[in-house]
Amino acid sequence: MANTPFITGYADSLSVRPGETVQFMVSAEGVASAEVQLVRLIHGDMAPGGPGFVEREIASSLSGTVALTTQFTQTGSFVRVADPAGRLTPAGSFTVHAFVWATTPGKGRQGLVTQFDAASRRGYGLGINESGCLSFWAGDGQAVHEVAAERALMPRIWYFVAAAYDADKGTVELYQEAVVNAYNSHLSPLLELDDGSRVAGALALTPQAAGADLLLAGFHDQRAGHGPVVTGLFNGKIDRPGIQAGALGLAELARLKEGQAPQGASTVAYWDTSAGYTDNGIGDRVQDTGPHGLHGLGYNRPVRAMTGWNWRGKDDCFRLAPAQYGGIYFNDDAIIDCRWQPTLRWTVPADLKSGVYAARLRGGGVEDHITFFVRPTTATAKVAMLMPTASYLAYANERFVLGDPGVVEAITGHGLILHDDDYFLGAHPEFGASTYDHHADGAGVCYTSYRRPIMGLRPRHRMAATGVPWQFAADMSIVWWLEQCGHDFDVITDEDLDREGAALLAPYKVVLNGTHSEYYSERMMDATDQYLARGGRVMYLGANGYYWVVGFRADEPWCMEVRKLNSGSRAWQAAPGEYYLASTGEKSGIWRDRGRAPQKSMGVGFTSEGMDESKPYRRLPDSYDPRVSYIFEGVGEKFGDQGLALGGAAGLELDRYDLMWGTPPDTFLLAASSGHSDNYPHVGEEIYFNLPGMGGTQDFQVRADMTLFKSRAGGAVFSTGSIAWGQALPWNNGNNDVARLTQNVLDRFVRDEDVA
Amino acid sequence: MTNTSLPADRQLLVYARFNEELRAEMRPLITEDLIEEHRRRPLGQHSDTLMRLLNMFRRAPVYALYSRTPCREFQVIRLPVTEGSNPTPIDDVVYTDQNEALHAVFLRNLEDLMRSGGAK
Ligand SMILES: [Fe+2]
Repeated sequence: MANTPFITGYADSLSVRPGETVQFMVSAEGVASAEVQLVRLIHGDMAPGGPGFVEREIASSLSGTVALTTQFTQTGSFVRVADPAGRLTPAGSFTVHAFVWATTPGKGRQGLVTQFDAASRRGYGLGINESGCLSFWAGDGQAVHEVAAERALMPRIWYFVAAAYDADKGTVELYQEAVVNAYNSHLSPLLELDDGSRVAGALALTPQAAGADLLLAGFHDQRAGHGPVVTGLFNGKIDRPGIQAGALGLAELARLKEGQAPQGASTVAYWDTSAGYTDNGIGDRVQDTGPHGLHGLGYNRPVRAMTGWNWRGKDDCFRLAPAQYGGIYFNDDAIIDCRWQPTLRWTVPADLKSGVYAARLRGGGVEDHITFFVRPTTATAKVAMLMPTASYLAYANERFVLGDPGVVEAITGHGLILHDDDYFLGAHPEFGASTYDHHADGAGVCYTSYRRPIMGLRPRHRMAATGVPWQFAADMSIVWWLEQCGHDFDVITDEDLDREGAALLAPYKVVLNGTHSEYYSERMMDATDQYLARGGRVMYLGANGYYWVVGFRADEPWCMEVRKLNSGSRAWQAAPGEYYLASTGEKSGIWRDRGRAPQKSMGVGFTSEGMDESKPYRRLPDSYDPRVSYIFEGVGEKFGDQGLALGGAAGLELDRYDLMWGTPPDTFLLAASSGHSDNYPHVGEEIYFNLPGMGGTQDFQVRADMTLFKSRAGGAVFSTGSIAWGQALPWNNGNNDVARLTQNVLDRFVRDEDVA
Repeated sequence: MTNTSLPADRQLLVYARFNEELRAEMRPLITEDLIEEHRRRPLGQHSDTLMRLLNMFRRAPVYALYSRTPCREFQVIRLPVTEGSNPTPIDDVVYTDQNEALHAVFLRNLEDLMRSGGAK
């Protein structure tokens, strides 16, 4: 919402344990102070038929009044190069050069390689001007003059660009030439692209050094009421930029254009954007292989492991041909960390029970919940609820319905229902988007982080695409049920699982997963399999889980990376050759394309999605097998005909048993849903030839399967194959057959005896 | 050489022609029974005709709902929702039943469909 008071914020750590300190970063507008209260969150969904929103106030030292300010967020990815000795604005003549692939040349002035401060009008920049043309500009503290090319850069075409400033003559020579091969650009070299440019112009001033960092993909400015900011943010890729002393001539520029690294004493700096790669990923450092070693550091994670100006299409990974992967992709709307000042700093008390908590802030007639998860110091229960925080990150601040809602409504088969959170996000583009969205230039969002306010982490949030809660708020329906099921439980998160592996799960007899545990790192997959192999038991109460391959850097658990490849239900598709995670070096995409279909670990895997109605299940012969019939005590032949998510327990997204994809051979196929509409089509990754009639009314593969199988050492997996299952648990205050069945399974799973 | 009265993306011309033909095919299929079918149950599996009609509307949505009080109050809005805008329902009608509100969106879509036919 624009121009209305708000309080919002984030916790710097999503998972904390007693004794650890968590900081809450809060920003507000129109609210000077707020009352802070620690609350234990019990339920979120306010749908009729359920318990509504439930929180419990907890006395703690977090309580009190806190003054609020409006905090600034620097969006956009760029590279900073500290230049304490002032080498990067050479006295006298110099040349700036780079390879560049611009996606929005017409969006306004953008910096490519700059050491320029617009506020003080000092320094210089090689960039793109308001006409979309390559430009070199410089300021002397009084005025800024520029020399610009006469032809605009074409989007998504690789160019070699350079500006040679001759201090003696007071001239700038601009050089721009496309370097297109059959693979690297949007268009083919068979076309005559009328885009080369060589322009010489006078620069009627002597550049004065800005005395600031050199930037790739932006330039410095001042913002009233805040101070220094980076603006002029560039969209697109930059490859191997550099600065040479002297005004280079055509022969020297031609060598650079061929891709030769600059030689000799004239090199001031040369950032070899393809250097420093490892098999396990690429960090934020950009190496200067020149004489001064002025390395750069990425801000808001410029995307690495991207194809460069010389990509030839044979190798599809930066590990195979690093020299062809020098492209660094910048986006003007990227946000990894808001870097706000801490508003509250609080140490989790030793006696705080593990669970889902929030700092509730109330003031000026508005309220906000900043959610975080408290895990125990050591396990305190036989049961753990694993909150799928990696998947919360993936969906964080999804903006499906803003701007161009595209095909969202066609996918869901449900009218769009917007809430205030959606308008709030619309008014705050700086809070970034989800991995289901696109950057302003159309690139898919591959990084997402929780160091920013996230609407989906608010307990009452509903997703506009369907009008029902999704991810965190939906999982709170499982948490509500656990709170009253008679078993103690601990709360743990994907973040802990990724960092600690199977050791995190080992103390628990049973681990429940959430409604939609879709995003899994390799460490999370391995931890799950190891836990099961050592006798652990998992209740997978969701669907479309264990699906996307994601990666985290070891030291930055708040930020997750995914690349959506050429199969799977995907909101975007990575460009050819950009399939590998910069965070870990792994191939991304869906796990099944790496030989680990979810069926191998969970018995079921993704088969359909649709969001118009949910349906009940009907029992199958295995459910009457005396070894497992305890699961159905008090449950009829048909069950799950109610729930908070679209009126049933089988709905939203569905998973299916399939021996071909690795469902264990001795799996009990206990029940299956049926009657789904044609708004539930069979998923794309299972379709080799498209044909009519792939919706729920004509394709038997459109269904949720309920399965049970045993793993080694007494371990077991029970799966419901449906996202809507969790949201059916609290129906009628928990008096329903879905809750009964879940209780039957949990009661047995916590005991030592075999499950079948 | 270049005809500037045509869009840079010529496919838009095909899209427009396709839409026009599709909408012309759909208009004669609108009956009181079809409208009543939607009113009774706006979500889920419908008759083939209603499914086709809804598929068409859903591929290019013009209206949506705004819910000031989740699950309790619904108003019809027009898409797209531009960044920085506040909710601006197209009228003062507040539906307390979600299905009624979804049907109101359907009626708006129908009205547009029939009007665009009349203008021809
Ligand atoms: Fe999903």
